[in-house]
Amino acid sequence: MDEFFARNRLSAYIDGELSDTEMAEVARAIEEQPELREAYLELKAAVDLLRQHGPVQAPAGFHSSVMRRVEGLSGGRSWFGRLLGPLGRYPVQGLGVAVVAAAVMLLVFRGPMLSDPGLDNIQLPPMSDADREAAVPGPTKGEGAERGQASDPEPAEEQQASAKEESGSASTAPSPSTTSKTGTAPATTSKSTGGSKSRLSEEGVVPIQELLRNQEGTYIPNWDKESAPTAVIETTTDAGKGIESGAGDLATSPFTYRLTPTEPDALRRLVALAEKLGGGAFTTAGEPHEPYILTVEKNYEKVVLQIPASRLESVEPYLRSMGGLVTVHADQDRLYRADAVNVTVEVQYQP
Amino acid sequence: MLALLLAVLTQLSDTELVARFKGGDEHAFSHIVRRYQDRVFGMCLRWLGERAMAEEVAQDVFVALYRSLARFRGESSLSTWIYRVAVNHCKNKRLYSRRRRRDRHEPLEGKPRDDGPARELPAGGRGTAEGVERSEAQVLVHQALEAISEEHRQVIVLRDIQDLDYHEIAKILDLPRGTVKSRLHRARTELARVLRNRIGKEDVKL
Repeated sequence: MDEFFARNRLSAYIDGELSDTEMAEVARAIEEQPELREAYLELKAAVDLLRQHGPVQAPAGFHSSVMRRVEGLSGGRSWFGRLLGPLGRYPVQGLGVAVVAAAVMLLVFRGPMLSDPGLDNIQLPPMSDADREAAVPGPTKGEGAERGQASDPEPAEEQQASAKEESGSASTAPSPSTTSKTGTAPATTSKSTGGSKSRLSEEGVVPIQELLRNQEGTYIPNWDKESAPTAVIETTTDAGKGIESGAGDLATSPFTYRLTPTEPDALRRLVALAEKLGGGAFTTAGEPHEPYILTVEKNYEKVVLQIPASRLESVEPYLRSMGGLVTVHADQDRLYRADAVNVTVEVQYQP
Repeated sequence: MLALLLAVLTQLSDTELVARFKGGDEHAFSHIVRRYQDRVFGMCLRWLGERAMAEEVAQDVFVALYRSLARFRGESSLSTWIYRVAVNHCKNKRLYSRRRRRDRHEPLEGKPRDDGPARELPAGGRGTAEGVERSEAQVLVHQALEAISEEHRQVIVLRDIQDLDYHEIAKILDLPRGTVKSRLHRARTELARVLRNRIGKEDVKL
Protein backbone atom coordinates (compact mmCIF):
# COMPACT_ATOMS: atom_id res chain seq x y z
CA MET A 1 0.00 0.00 0.00
CA ASP A 2 1.19 3.50 -0.85
CA GLU A 3 2.62 5.27 2.20
CA PHE A 4 0.48 8.36 1.81
CA PHE A 5 -2.62 6.21 1.46
CA ALA A 6 -1.69 4.18 4.52
CA ARG A 7 -0.69 7.19 6.57
CA ASN A 8 -4.12 8.70 6.11
CA ARG A 9 -5.64 5.52 7.46
CA LEU A 10 -3.56 5.17 10.58
CA SER A 11 -6.13 6.75 12.83
CA ALA A 12 -8.94 4.58 11.53
CA TYR A 13 -6.58 1.60 11.76
CA ILE A 14 -6.05 2.25 15.46
CA ASP A 15 -9.81 2.32 15.93
CA GLY A 16 -10.39 -0.75 13.79
CA GLU A 17 -12.61 1.31 11.54
CA LEU A 18 -11.29 -0.05 8.25
CA SER A 19 -12.48 -2.95 6.19
CA ASP A 20 -10.72 -6.27 6.78
CA THR A 21 -8.78 -5.86 3.56
CA GLU A 22 -7.64 -2.35 4.43
CA MET A 23 -6.71 -3.39 7.96
CA ALA A 24 -4.46 -6.06 6.56
CA GLU A 25 -2.93 -3.72 4.00
CA VAL A 26 -2.19 -1.02 6.54
CA ALA A 27 -0.73 -3.58 8.97
CA ARG A 28 1.57 -4.84 6.25
CA ALA A 29 2.58 -1.31 5.27
CA ILE A 30 3.41 -0.51 8.90
CA GLU A 31 5.64 -3.55 9.07
CA GLU A 32 7.39 -2.79 5.82
CA GLN A 33 7.85 0.97 6.03
CA PRO A 34 9.89 2.31 8.98
CA GLU A 35 8.67 5.89 8.61
CA LEU A 36 5.10 4.76 8.60
CA ARG A 37 5.74 2.57 11.62
CA GLU A 38 7.21 5.54 13.43
CA ALA A 39 4.17 7.65 12.62
CA TYR A 40 1.88 4.86 13.75
CA LEU A 41 3.67 4.41 17.07
CA GLU A 42 3.59 8.10 17.72
CA LEU A 43 -0.12 8.29 16.99
CA LYS A 44 -0.81 5.20 19.06
CA ALA A 45 1.16 6.59 22.01
CA ALA A 46 -0.85 9.80 21.90
CA VAL A 47 -4.13 7.90 21.80
CA ASP A 48 -3.07 5.60 24.64
CA LEU A 49 -2.05 8.55 26.76
CA LEU A 50 -5.48 10.12 26.30
CA ARG A 51 -7.33 6.89 26.96
CA GLN A 52 -5.40 6.21 30.14
CA HIS A 53 -5.26 9.66 31.60
CA GLY A 54 -8.07 11.54 29.90
CA PRO A 55 -11.10 10.32 31.82
CA VAL A 56 -11.79 12.03 35.12
CA GLN A 57 -14.35 11.64 37.85
CA ALA A 58 -16.86 14.25 38.78
CA PRO A 59 -15.83 16.09 41.94
CA ALA A 60 -17.18 14.98 45.28
CA GLY A 61 -20.54 16.52 45.95
CA PHE A 62 -21.31 17.01 42.28
CA HIS A 63 -24.39 14.81 42.39
CA SER A 64 -25.83 16.49 45.45
CA SER A 65 -25.15 19.92 43.98
CA VAL A 66 -27.09 19.02 40.86
CA MET A 67 -29.95 17.57 42.86
CA ARG A 68 -30.10 20.66 45.05
CA ARG A 69 -30.36 22.86 41.99
CA VAL A 70 -32.98 20.61 40.53
CA GLU A 71 -35.01 20.59 43.72
CA GLY A 72 -35.07 24.36 43.44
CA LEU A 73 -37.08 23.94 40.28
CA SER A 74 -40.23 23.12 42.25
CA GLY A 75 -40.35 19.45 41.75
CA GLY A 76 -39.67 19.52 38.09
CA ARG A 77 -42.64 21.50 36.99
CA SER A 78 -42.01 24.15 34.40
CA TRP A 79 -42.31 27.81 35.27
CA PHE A 80 -45.54 27.85 33.34
CA GLY A 81 -46.88 25.00 35.39
CA ARG A 82 -45.87 26.73 38.59
CA LEU A 83 -47.49 29.94 37.41
CA LEU A 84 -50.72 28.16 36.70
CA GLY A 85 -50.48 26.06 39.84
CA PRO A 86 -52.74 28.29 41.96
CA LEU A 87 -55.44 28.06 39.34
CA GLY A 88 -56.10 24.50 40.32
CA ARG A 89 -56.41 25.17 44.01
CA TYR A 90 -58.07 28.58 43.92
CA PRO A 91 -59.96 28.83 40.66
CA VAL A 92 -61.50 32.26 41.13
CA GLN A 93 -58.49 33.98 42.67
CA GLY A 94 -56.20 32.22 40.26
CA LEU A 95 -58.23 33.33 37.29
CA GLY A 96 -58.10 36.89 38.56
CA VAL A 97 -54.34 36.69 38.92
CA ALA A 98 -54.03 35.25 35.44
CA VAL A 99 -56.17 38.01 33.91
CA VAL A 100 -54.21 40.75 35.65
CA ALA A 101 -50.94 39.09 34.67
CA ALA A 102 -52.08 38.82 31.07
CA ALA A 103 -53.06 42.49 31.03
CA VAL A 104 -49.69 43.50 32.44
CA MET A 105 -47.90 41.31 29.95
CA LEU A 106 -49.89 42.86 27.14
CA LEU A 107 -48.96 46.34 28.26
CA VAL A 108 -45.33 45.50 28.77
CA PHE A 109 -44.78 43.42 25.69
CA ARG A 110 -47.08 45.20 23.27
CA GLY A 111 -44.01 46.24 21.36
CA PRO A 112 -41.27 44.01 22.63
CA MET A 113 -38.39 45.71 20.94
CA LEU A 114 -39.69 49.13 21.66
CA SER A 115 -40.09 48.57 25.35
CA ASP A 116 -36.85 46.69 25.69
CA PRO A 117 -34.64 48.82 27.93
CA GLY A 118 -31.53 47.11 26.65
CA LEU A 119 -32.31 48.00 23.09
CA ASP A 120 -33.19 51.55 23.89
CA ASN A 121 -29.59 52.25 24.66
CA ILE A 122 -28.05 50.52 21.69
CA GLN A 123 -25.73 52.75 19.75
CA LEU A 124 -24.65 51.47 16.42
CA PRO A 125 -21.03 52.00 15.44
CA PRO A 126 -20.29 54.98 13.28
CA MET A 127 -19.01 54.58 9.75
CA SER A 128 -16.33 56.94 8.57
CA ASP A 129 -16.45 58.72 5.25
CA ALA A 130 -13.32 56.86 4.30
CA ASP A 131 -15.11 53.60 4.83
CA ARG A 132 -17.93 54.76 2.66
CA GLU A 133 -15.53 55.80 -0.04
CA ALA A 134 -13.83 52.45 0.13
CA ALA A 135 -17.06 50.56 0.00
CA VAL A 136 -18.65 51.97 -3.10
CA PRO A 137 -16.80 53.05 -6.23
CA GLY A 138 -17.81 56.18 -8.12
CA PRO A 139 -20.66 55.06 -10.38
CA THR A 140 -22.30 53.00 -7.67
CA LYS A 141 -22.09 55.88 -5.26
CA GLY A 142 -24.00 57.99 -7.68
CA GLU A 143 -26.69 55.40 -7.97
CA GLY A 144 -26.88 55.19 -4.22
CA ALA A 145 -27.27 58.91 -4.01
CA GLU A 146 -30.13 58.85 -6.43
CA ARG A 147 -31.87 56.30 -4.32
CA GLY A 148 -31.07 58.23 -1.18
CA GLN A 149 -29.16 55.40 0.39
CA ALA A 150 -26.64 55.69 3.16
CA SER A 151 -23.81 54.49 1.00
CA ASP A 152 -23.69 57.96 -0.40
CA PRO A 153 -20.92 59.90 1.28
CA GLU A 154 -21.74 63.50 1.89
CA PRO A 155 -20.42 66.28 4.07
CA ALA A 156 -21.88 66.63 7.52
CA GLU A 157 -23.41 69.99 6.62
CA GLU A 158 -25.31 68.43 3.76
CA GLN A 159 -26.43 65.65 6.00
CA GLN A 160 -27.81 68.12 8.45
CA ALA A 161 -29.41 70.18 5.75
CA SER A 162 -31.04 67.23 4.15
CA ALA A 163 -32.11 66.03 7.54
CA LYS A 164 -33.88 69.29 8.14
CA GLU A 165 -35.60 69.02 4.82
CA GLU A 166 -36.63 65.49 5.52
CA SER A 167 -37.62 65.90 9.12
CA GLY A 168 -41.02 66.99 8.01
CA SER A 169 -41.62 63.72 6.33
CA ALA A 170 -41.30 61.89 9.61
CA SER A 171 -44.86 62.68 10.36
CA THR A 172 -45.88 60.82 7.24
CA ALA A 173 -44.75 57.59 8.78
CA PRO A 174 -46.59 57.56 12.04
CA SER A 175 -45.93 54.87 14.51
CA PRO A 176 -47.63 54.48 17.86
CA SER A 177 -44.36 54.21 19.62
CA THR A 178 -42.51 56.94 17.81
CA THR A 179 -43.70 59.66 20.06
CA SER A 180 -43.13 57.67 23.18
CA LYS A 181 -39.53 57.05 22.25
CA THR A 182 -38.66 60.41 20.85
CA GLY A 183 -37.45 61.69 24.14
CA THR A 184 -34.81 59.04 24.45
CA ALA A 185 -32.86 60.15 21.41
CA PRO A 186 -33.60 63.76 20.69
CA ALA A 187 -30.44 64.33 18.70
CA THR A 188 -31.37 61.91 15.99
CA THR A 189 -35.08 61.44 15.94
CA SER A 190 -35.68 64.43 13.75
CA LYS A 191 -33.44 62.86 11.16
CA SER A 192 -34.55 59.36 11.51
CA THR A 193 -37.34 58.64 9.16
CA GLY A 194 -36.75 60.60 6.03
CA GLY A 195 -34.04 58.53 4.45
CA SER A 196 -30.60 57.22 4.87
CA LYS A 197 -28.95 60.51 4.12
CA SER A 198 -30.12 61.60 7.50
CA ARG A 199 -29.44 58.34 9.17
CA LEU A 200 -26.26 59.28 10.94
CA SER A 201 -26.26 61.84 13.68
CA GLU A 202 -23.52 64.40 13.93
CA GLU A 203 -21.44 61.84 15.77
CA GLY A 204 -22.24 59.31 13.12
CA VAL A 205 -24.18 57.24 15.64
CA VAL A 206 -27.67 55.91 15.18
CA PRO A 207 -29.66 54.76 18.17
CA ILE A 208 -31.19 51.42 17.50
CA GLN A 209 -34.63 52.44 18.61
CA GLU A 210 -34.67 54.88 15.73
CA LEU A 211 -34.63 51.96 13.40
CA LEU A 212 -36.75 49.65 15.44
CA ARG A 213 -39.59 51.99 16.01
CA ASN A 214 -40.09 52.11 12.31
CA GLN A 215 -40.69 48.42 12.17
CA GLU A 216 -44.28 48.75 13.20
CA GLY A 217 -46.67 48.70 10.34
CA THR A 218 -45.29 48.58 6.86
CA TYR A 219 -42.93 51.47 6.92
CA ILE A 220 -39.33 50.55 6.27
CA PRO A 221 -36.86 53.21 7.33
CA ASN A 222 -34.09 54.36 5.05
CA TRP A 223 -35.68 52.80 2.01
CA ASP A 224 -37.82 54.20 -0.66
CA LYS A 225 -40.82 51.99 -0.29
CA GLU A 226 -40.94 51.34 -3.99
CA SER A 227 -37.33 50.33 -4.28
CA ALA A 228 -37.14 48.25 -1.14
CA PRO A 229 -36.87 44.60 -2.01
CA THR A 230 -39.77 42.42 -1.12
CA ALA A 231 -39.08 40.16 1.80
CA VAL A 232 -40.00 36.60 1.01
CA ILE A 233 -40.52 34.55 4.10
CA GLU A 234 -39.91 30.86 3.80
CA THR A 235 -40.19 29.19 7.12
CA THR A 236 -39.12 25.66 7.47
CA THR A 237 -38.78 23.46 10.49
CA ASP A 238 -35.85 21.24 11.11
CA ALA A 239 -38.10 18.55 12.44
CA GLY A 240 -35.46 15.91 12.47
CA LYS A 241 -33.47 17.64 15.13
CA GLY A 242 -35.96 19.16 17.47
CA ILE A 243 -35.17 19.21 21.10
CA GLU A 244 -32.41 16.70 20.83
CA SER A 245 -30.35 19.26 19.02
CA GLY A 246 -30.49 21.80 21.77
CA ALA A 247 -29.13 25.12 20.65
CA GLY A 248 -25.79 26.68 20.22
CA ASP A 249 -24.35 24.47 17.56
CA LEU A 250 -22.87 26.78 14.99
CA ALA A 251 -23.27 24.24 12.26
CA THR A 252 -26.96 23.87 12.90
CA SER A 253 -28.26 27.30 13.74
CA PRO A 254 -31.97 27.13 14.30
CA PHE A 255 -32.41 30.39 12.42
CA THR A 256 -30.90 31.37 9.11
CA TYR A 257 -31.58 34.60 7.30
CA ARG A 258 -30.40 35.98 3.99
CA LEU A 259 -29.86 39.69 4.29
CA THR A 260 -29.22 42.11 1.44
CA PRO A 261 -28.13 45.33 3.11
CA THR A 262 -27.56 48.49 1.18
CA GLU A 263 -25.09 49.87 3.62
CA PRO A 264 -21.47 48.79 3.61
CA ASP A 265 -21.12 48.79 7.38
CA ALA A 266 -23.76 46.10 7.77
CA LEU A 267 -21.32 43.71 9.41
CA ARG A 268 -20.46 46.19 12.11
CA ARG A 269 -24.12 46.74 12.73
CA LEU A 270 -24.69 43.04 13.12
CA VAL A 271 -21.85 42.71 15.59
CA ALA A 272 -23.10 45.71 17.53
CA LEU A 273 -26.60 44.29 17.58
CA ALA A 274 -25.45 40.93 18.90
CA GLU A 275 -23.30 42.47 21.59
CA LYS A 276 -25.91 44.92 22.70
CA LEU A 277 -28.37 42.10 23.06
CA GLY A 278 -25.92 40.39 25.36
CA GLY A 279 -24.59 37.94 22.81
CA GLY A 280 -21.83 37.93 20.26
CA ALA A 281 -21.07 37.62 16.58
CA PHE A 282 -18.94 34.82 15.26
CA THR A 283 -17.70 33.32 12.08
CA THR A 284 -19.05 29.95 11.09
CA ALA A 285 -15.79 28.53 12.36
CA GLY A 286 -16.65 29.82 15.80
CA GLU A 287 -14.15 32.64 15.88
CA PRO A 288 -15.24 36.10 16.98
CA HIS A 289 -16.34 37.96 13.91
CA GLU A 290 -14.19 40.88 12.92
CA PRO A 291 -16.44 43.17 10.93
CA TYR A 292 -15.17 44.92 7.86
CA ILE A 293 -16.61 47.31 5.36
CA LEU A 294 -18.39 45.52 2.55
CA THR A 295 -17.50 46.46 -0.96
CA VAL A 296 -18.79 45.66 -4.40
CA GLU A 297 -16.01 43.13 -4.78
CA LYS A 298 -16.16 41.68 -1.29
CA ASN A 299 -19.87 41.65 -0.86
CA TYR A 300 -20.68 38.36 0.85
CA GLU A 301 -20.21 37.22 4.41
CA LYS A 302 -21.82 34.75 6.73
CA VAL A 303 -22.15 35.77 10.34
CA VAL A 304 -23.42 33.73 13.26
CA LEU A 305 -25.10 35.86 15.88
CA GLN A 306 -25.36 34.24 19.26
CA ILE A 307 -28.31 35.79 20.95
CA PRO A 308 -29.85 35.15 24.37
CA ALA A 309 -33.09 33.32 23.67
CA SER A 310 -35.07 35.93 25.56
CA ARG A 311 -33.87 38.66 23.17
CA LEU A 312 -34.25 36.73 19.97
CA GLU A 313 -37.44 38.38 18.90
CA SER A 314 -35.60 41.68 18.54
CA VAL A 315 -33.31 40.33 15.87
CA GLU A 316 -35.57 39.84 12.87
CA PRO A 317 -37.15 43.30 12.96
CA TYR A 318 -33.73 44.83 13.16
CA LEU A 319 -32.45 42.78 10.26
CA ARG A 320 -35.43 43.93 8.24
CA SER A 321 -34.47 47.50 8.94
CA MET A 322 -31.10 46.85 7.32
CA GLY A 323 -32.38 45.68 3.96
CA GLY A 324 -34.11 42.88 2.16
CA LEU A 325 -34.52 39.84 4.33
CA VAL A 326 -35.33 36.27 3.50
CA THR A 327 -35.90 33.74 6.20
CA VAL A 328 -34.14 30.69 4.92
CA HIS A 329 -34.69 28.59 7.97
CA ALA A 330 -36.50 29.13 11.24
CA ASP A 331 -36.88 26.38 13.76
CA GLN A 332 -39.25 27.84 16.28
CA ASP A 333 -39.30 24.49 17.99
CA ARG A 334 -35.84 25.12 19.33
CA LEU A 335 -36.39 28.70 20.30
CA TYR A 336 -36.89 28.48 24.01
CA ARG A 337 -34.89 25.41 24.76
CA ALA A 338 -31.55 26.95 25.40
CA ASP A 339 -30.18 30.06 27.00
CA ALA A 340 -28.61 31.22 23.78
CA VAL A 341 -29.66 30.73 20.18
CA ASN A 342 -27.51 30.99 17.10
CA VAL A 343 -28.81 33.01 14.21
CA THR A 344 -26.95 32.65 10.96
CA VAL A 345 -27.09 35.70 8.71
CA GLU A 346 -25.90 35.43 5.14
CA VAL A 347 -25.05 38.96 4.16
CA GLN A 348 -25.13 39.87 0.47
CA TYR A 349 -24.23 43.51 0.11
CA GLN A 350 -26.25 45.26 -2.60
CA PRO A 351 -25.27 48.91 -2.86
CA MET B 1 -35.91 0.27 51.11
CA LEU B 2 -33.95 3.08 49.48
CA ALA B 3 -31.08 0.71 48.85
CA LEU B 4 -33.44 -1.67 47.15
CA LEU B 5 -34.82 1.12 45.01
CA LEU B 6 -31.31 2.20 44.01
CA ALA B 7 -30.43 -1.38 43.17
CA VAL B 8 -33.48 -1.60 40.96
CA LEU B 9 -32.66 1.69 39.25
CA THR B 10 -29.11 0.58 38.59
CA GLN B 11 -30.45 -2.29 36.55
CA LEU B 12 -32.71 -0.13 34.44
CA SER B 13 -31.81 0.99 30.95
CA ASP B 14 -31.71 4.65 30.00
CA THR B 15 -35.05 4.31 28.25
CA GLU B 16 -36.64 2.82 31.33
CA LEU B 17 -35.18 5.53 33.54
CA VAL B 18 -36.58 8.22 31.27
CA ALA B 19 -39.97 6.53 31.30
CA ARG B 20 -39.94 6.39 35.09
CA PHE B 21 -38.95 10.05 35.28
CA LYS B 22 -41.78 10.98 32.97
CA GLY B 23 -44.03 9.01 35.25
CA GLY B 24 -43.02 11.24 38.15
CA ASP B 25 -40.18 9.22 39.69
CA GLU B 26 -37.59 11.78 40.76
CA HIS B 27 -35.19 9.04 41.83
CA ALA B 28 -34.88 8.08 38.20
CA PHE B 29 -33.38 11.44 37.37
CA SER B 30 -31.03 11.18 40.32
CA HIS B 31 -29.82 7.94 38.90
CA ILE B 32 -29.36 9.40 35.44
CA VAL B 33 -27.12 12.03 37.02
CA ARG B 34 -25.09 9.35 38.77
CA ARG B 35 -24.79 7.37 35.58
CA TYR B 36 -23.58 10.25 33.45
CA GLN B 37 -21.91 12.69 35.82
CA ASP B 38 -18.36 11.46 35.28
CA ARG B 39 -18.75 11.44 31.53
CA VAL B 40 -20.36 14.86 31.34
CA PHE B 41 -17.97 16.45 33.80
CA GLY B 42 -15.00 14.78 32.13
CA MET B 43 -16.02 16.02 28.73
CA CYS B 44 -16.56 19.55 30.00
CA LEU B 45 -13.23 19.55 31.81
CA ARG B 46 -11.27 18.31 28.83
CA TRP B 47 -13.08 20.68 26.53
CA LEU B 48 -13.02 23.80 28.66
CA GLY B 49 -9.83 23.14 30.56
CA GLU B 50 -10.88 24.81 33.78
CA ARG B 51 -12.19 22.72 36.61
CA ALA B 52 -14.53 25.25 38.18
CA MET B 53 -15.96 26.21 34.82
CA ALA B 54 -16.36 22.59 33.85
CA GLU B 55 -18.24 21.81 37.04
CA GLU B 56 -20.55 24.75 36.53
CA VAL B 57 -21.24 23.83 32.93
CA ALA B 58 -21.73 20.16 33.76
CA GLN B 59 -24.27 21.10 36.40
CA ASP B 60 -26.00 23.35 33.89
CA VAL B 61 -26.18 20.43 31.51
CA PHE B 62 -28.05 18.31 34.04
CA VAL B 63 -30.34 21.16 35.01
CA ALA B 64 -31.15 21.68 31.34
CA LEU B 65 -31.70 17.98 31.06
CA TYR B 66 -34.07 18.00 33.98
CA ARG B 67 -36.08 20.83 32.50
CA SER B 68 -36.50 19.17 29.15
CA LEU B 69 -36.35 15.47 29.86
CA ALA B 70 -40.13 15.25 29.96
CA ARG B 71 -40.14 16.30 26.30
CA PHE B 72 -37.42 13.92 25.27
CA ARG B 73 -38.87 11.95 22.40
CA GLY B 74 -36.31 9.24 22.28
CA GLU B 75 -35.40 9.79 18.64
CA SER B 76 -31.80 9.41 19.65
CA SER B 77 -30.37 7.59 22.61
CA LEU B 78 -30.32 9.37 25.95
CA SER B 79 -26.55 9.19 25.88
CA THR B 80 -26.35 10.96 22.53
CA TRP B 81 -28.81 13.56 23.64
CA ILE B 82 -26.93 14.29 26.86
CA TYR B 83 -23.70 14.63 24.93
CA ARG B 84 -25.34 16.96 22.45
CA VAL B 85 -26.61 19.16 25.24
CA ALA B 86 -23.18 19.06 26.86
CA VAL B 87 -21.42 19.88 23.60
CA ASN B 88 -23.67 22.85 23.02
CA HIS B 89 -23.18 24.11 26.55
CA CYS B 90 -19.42 23.79 26.18
CA LYS B 91 -19.45 25.57 22.85
CA ASN B 92 -21.54 28.38 24.23
CA LYS B 93 -19.33 28.71 27.26
CA ARG B 94 -16.23 28.74 25.14
CA LEU B 95 -17.61 31.38 22.82
CA TYR B 96 -18.79 33.46 25.74
CA SER B 97 -15.39 33.25 27.42
CA ARG B 98 -13.65 34.13 24.20
CA ARG B 99 -15.83 37.16 23.74
CA ARG B 100 -15.17 38.29 27.27
CA ARG B 101 -11.46 37.96 26.74
CA ARG B 102 -11.71 39.89 23.53
CA ASP B 103 -13.67 42.62 25.28
CA ARG B 104 -10.92 42.84 27.84
CA HIS B 105 -8.40 43.10 24.99
CA GLU B 106 -6.62 40.01 26.18
CA PRO B 107 -4.88 37.88 23.57
CA LEU B 108 -6.83 34.74 22.77
CA GLU B 109 -3.90 32.56 21.93
CA GLY B 110 -0.52 32.08 23.40
CA LYS B 111 -1.49 33.18 26.85
CA PRO B 112 -1.63 30.66 29.64
CA ARG B 113 -4.91 30.41 31.44
CA ASP B 114 -5.28 32.11 34.78
CA ASP B 115 -5.76 28.84 36.54
CA GLY B 116 -3.49 26.58 34.62
CA PRO B 117 -3.30 22.85 34.49
CA ALA B 118 -1.77 22.51 37.94
CA ARG B 119 -5.22 22.78 39.47
CA GLU B 120 -6.09 19.55 37.77
CA LEU B 121 -3.87 17.55 40.05
CA PRO B 122 -5.98 14.71 41.38
CA ALA B 123 -6.40 15.38 45.05
CA GLY B 124 -6.32 11.76 46.03
CA GLY B 125 -3.02 11.08 44.36
CA ARG B 126 -0.96 13.81 45.88
CA GLY B 127 2.00 12.81 47.93
CA THR B 128 2.53 9.41 46.36
CA ALA B 129 4.82 8.44 43.54
CA GLU B 130 1.93 7.00 41.61
CA GLY B 131 -0.07 10.11 42.24
CA VAL B 132 2.69 12.38 41.01
CA GLU B 133 3.14 10.28 37.88
CA ARG B 134 -0.56 10.30 37.26
CA SER B 135 -0.67 14.02 37.84
CA GLU B 136 2.08 14.64 35.34
CA ALA B 137 0.32 12.57 32.73
CA GLN B 138 -2.94 14.39 33.35
CA VAL B 139 -1.22 17.74 33.14
CA LEU B 140 0.34 16.64 29.88
CA VAL B 141 -3.04 15.60 28.54
CA HIS B 142 -4.48 18.90 29.58
CA GLN B 143 -1.70 20.92 27.99
CA ALA B 144 -1.82 18.95 24.79
CA LEU B 145 -5.57 19.39 24.46
CA GLU B 146 -5.24 23.08 25.15
CA ALA B 147 -2.71 23.40 22.37
CA ILE B 148 -4.82 21.95 19.58
CA SER B 149 -7.70 23.60 17.80
CA GLU B 150 -11.14 23.43 19.31
CA GLU B 151 -12.51 21.56 16.33
CA HIS B 152 -9.90 18.88 16.81
CA ARG B 153 -10.31 18.84 20.56
CA GLN B 154 -14.01 18.08 20.15
CA VAL B 155 -13.51 14.87 18.26
CA ILE B 156 -10.58 13.73 20.36
CA VAL B 157 -12.45 14.24 23.60
CA LEU B 158 -15.46 12.36 22.30
CA ARG B 159 -13.49 9.52 20.78
CA ASP B 160 -10.42 8.96 22.91
CA ILE B 161 -11.62 10.15 26.28
CA GLN B 162 -15.34 9.45 26.13
CA ASP B 163 -14.78 6.34 24.04
CA LEU B 164 -17.69 7.00 21.71
CA ASP B 165 -17.84 5.34 18.33
CA TYR B 166 -17.72 7.25 15.05
CA HIS B 167 -21.42 6.93 14.48
CA GLU B 168 -22.33 8.43 17.82
CA ILE B 169 -19.80 11.25 17.43
CA ALA B 170 -21.27 12.02 14.03
CA LYS B 171 -24.71 12.32 15.56
CA ILE B 172 -23.53 14.43 18.47
CA LEU B 173 -21.57 16.87 16.33
CA ASP B 174 -24.06 16.71 13.48
CA LEU B 175 -21.37 15.77 11.01
CA PRO B 176 -21.12 13.08 8.37
CA ARG B 177 -19.34 9.99 9.59
CA GLY B 178 -16.61 10.43 7.00
CA THR B 179 -15.91 13.92 8.29
CA VAL B 180 -15.56 12.58 11.80
CA LYS B 181 -13.10 10.01 10.53
CA SER B 182 -10.91 12.45 8.65
CA ARG B 183 -11.12 15.11 11.33
CA LEU B 184 -10.13 12.62 13.96
CA HIS B 185 -7.11 11.64 11.93
CA ARG B 186 -6.00 15.24 11.58
CA ALA B 187 -6.71 15.89 15.24
CA ARG B 188 -4.63 12.98 16.43
CA THR B 189 -1.83 13.91 14.11
CA GLU B 190 -1.87 17.42 15.50
CA LEU B 191 -1.99 16.10 19.05
CA ALA B 192 0.94 13.77 18.44
CA ARG B 193 2.92 16.66 17.03
CA VAL B 194 2.15 18.77 20.08
CA LEU B 195 3.17 15.97 22.41
CA ARG B 196 6.35 15.40 20.44
CA ASN B 197 7.29 19.06 20.73
CA ARG B 198 6.33 19.23 24.38
CA ILE B 199 8.03 16.25 25.88
CA GLY B 200 10.33 14.94 23.22
CA LYS B 201 9.82 12.24 20.71
CA GLU B 202 11.37 9.46 22.76
CA ASP B 203 9.27 10.15 25.80
CA VAL B 204 6.03 9.94 23.88
CA LYS B 205 6.81 6.45 22.77
CA LEU B 206 6.08 4.96 26.16
